[in-house]
Amino acid sequence: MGITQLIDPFYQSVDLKALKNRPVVGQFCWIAAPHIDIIPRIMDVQRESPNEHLATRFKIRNMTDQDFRKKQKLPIISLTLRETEELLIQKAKKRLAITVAADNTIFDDIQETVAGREHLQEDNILVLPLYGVESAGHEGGFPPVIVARIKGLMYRQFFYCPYRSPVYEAVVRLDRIQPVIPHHPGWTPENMALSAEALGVLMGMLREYFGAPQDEDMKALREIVQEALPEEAKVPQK
Amino acid sequence: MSISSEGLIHAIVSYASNRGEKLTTLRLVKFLYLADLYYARISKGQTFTGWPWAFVYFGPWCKQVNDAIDSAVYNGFILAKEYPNTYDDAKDYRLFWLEEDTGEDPKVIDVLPTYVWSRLQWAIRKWADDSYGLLDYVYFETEPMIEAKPGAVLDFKHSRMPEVPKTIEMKKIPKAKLDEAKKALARLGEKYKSGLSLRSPQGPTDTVFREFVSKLDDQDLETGLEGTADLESSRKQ
Repeated sequence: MGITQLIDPFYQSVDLKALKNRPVVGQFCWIAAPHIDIIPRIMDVQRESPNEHLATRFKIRNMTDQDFRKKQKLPIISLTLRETEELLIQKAKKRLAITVAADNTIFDDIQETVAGREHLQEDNILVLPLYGVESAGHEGGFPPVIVARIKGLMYRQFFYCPYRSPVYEAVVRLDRIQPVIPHHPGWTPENMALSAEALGVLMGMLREYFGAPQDEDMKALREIVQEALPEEAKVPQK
Repeated sequence: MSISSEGLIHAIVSYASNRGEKLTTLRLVKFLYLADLYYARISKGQTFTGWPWAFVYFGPWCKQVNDAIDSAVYNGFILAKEYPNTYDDAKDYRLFWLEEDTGEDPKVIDVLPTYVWSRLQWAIRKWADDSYGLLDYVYFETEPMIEAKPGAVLDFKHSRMPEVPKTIEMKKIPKAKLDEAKKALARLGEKYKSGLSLRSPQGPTDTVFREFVSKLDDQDLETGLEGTADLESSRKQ
C-alpha cells in the first residue's frame, strides 16, 4: 500500500517492435550497474618486461593522489592508455533500470548526416537502477521499516517499485543515476514501463532531487501517503 | 550434543541420494561446515564437531573432515567411488551416495535440532548439484567466512540466526484522501508532459557541434589483453 494504493496501474506495456529498439522514458531495461567504491579502484597495468607488448602484469589497488598524472611508464599499445589516463575497475551487477532521459542527442533531421559516427548515432540515455528488496536464497534483505518509509515517499533518493514480472520488488535509486548507451548487450529493453501516474511521481522526485523548489502536488501526495505509515515505521519521538 | 560425525555424514548423503544426487567431496565438506554453522547459530558459537575449520583453497576445510568422511565410507555409512578427473593436472574426485532408499530416515535426524536439519535440507536441495552456487553462499553469506582471512581458523562465535524480516503493512488511505491524491497525480503527469514541451530548443547540431561531441569522448578500450593480476586485499594474511 502507500504509494501503490494511490497509483494503479503502476506499470504499462510497451510494444518493443513498434519502438524498433529505441528507448523511451519510463521504460524498464537491463543494464550493468557498477558498484561505487568509496575509493576508486585502479587496475594498474605494466608490461611484463620492457620489450614485451602483450604479456602484461596487473594489480588492483586503491586510487592515490599520484594517479591520473604524467608518469614514467612504458605505454601499452593495445590499451590506448594516454599519460593522464588510468584503468578503473568496478564490481557490477546486471540490474533492471528505469529510463528517465532519452533522445537527448539525436534529432531526426540529422540522422542521415551522422551515419557512421557511433557516439552520435547511439543516443546516450540516463537510467535509474533497481535494487531488489529481497532476493530468494539470501538471508536478510532490506529492513521492512525502511521499505515502508520509502513507500511513504520519505526519502528523496528512493522510489518504490512493486513486483510484477519481470520487475522485481525493488527500490529505485535516484542517487545512482547513470548514463548508458542503448546497445545490446549493455542495454536490453523490456516490454514494460512505468504508468503515466507512476512516472509523474518519479519525475517530480527527480526534479526535487536536483534542487527544484518543492512541488505543491508532491507535497500533498507525501502528506497523504505518510498518513498511511504504520507506527512501527515512524521515527521514534524522543 | 552427542552426534557422531559419521551419523551426520550419513544423514546428509542419504537426503541427497533420496533426491537423486551424488555428492562430491567439495559439496559434502561444505554441507558438514554448514551443519556446524547452523548449530553454532543456536548454541552460542558451539559446533557439533568441534573441528578446527580453516579458510583454505576452496573455503572451509580441516583434516578432521576428510578423516570423518573416510571413516564413514570405511564403516559402510555411505558409498564412495573415485572418478578420474578430465583435467590433466587435477586430482581424481570422489562421489558419495547411498544405494537405496530404505524409507527410514537416519536416526541422527531425530536428535538434530529442527532448525539445523531444516536449514541443511534447504541447502542440500539448493546446491547438491551446484558447486559454484554453494561456494558463493559459503564465502559471502556465512558468518565465519565473511571476515575470515586466508589460512586462518574460522571463528563460529559470531554466528547468529538471520533476522526474519517482519512484514509491515501500510494503513489504508481513506477514500476522500485517495480522490485528493488522484488529482495531484494527474497534475504531476501533466506538469511532466508540459515541461518536456516547454523545454528550450536544442542548439544547432551542425558540423562544429558534431566535431565537438566526437572530441568529448575517448575511444573505447581495446579488448583481448591478457595477463596476471595481483590483488591488494584487506583480507591478506
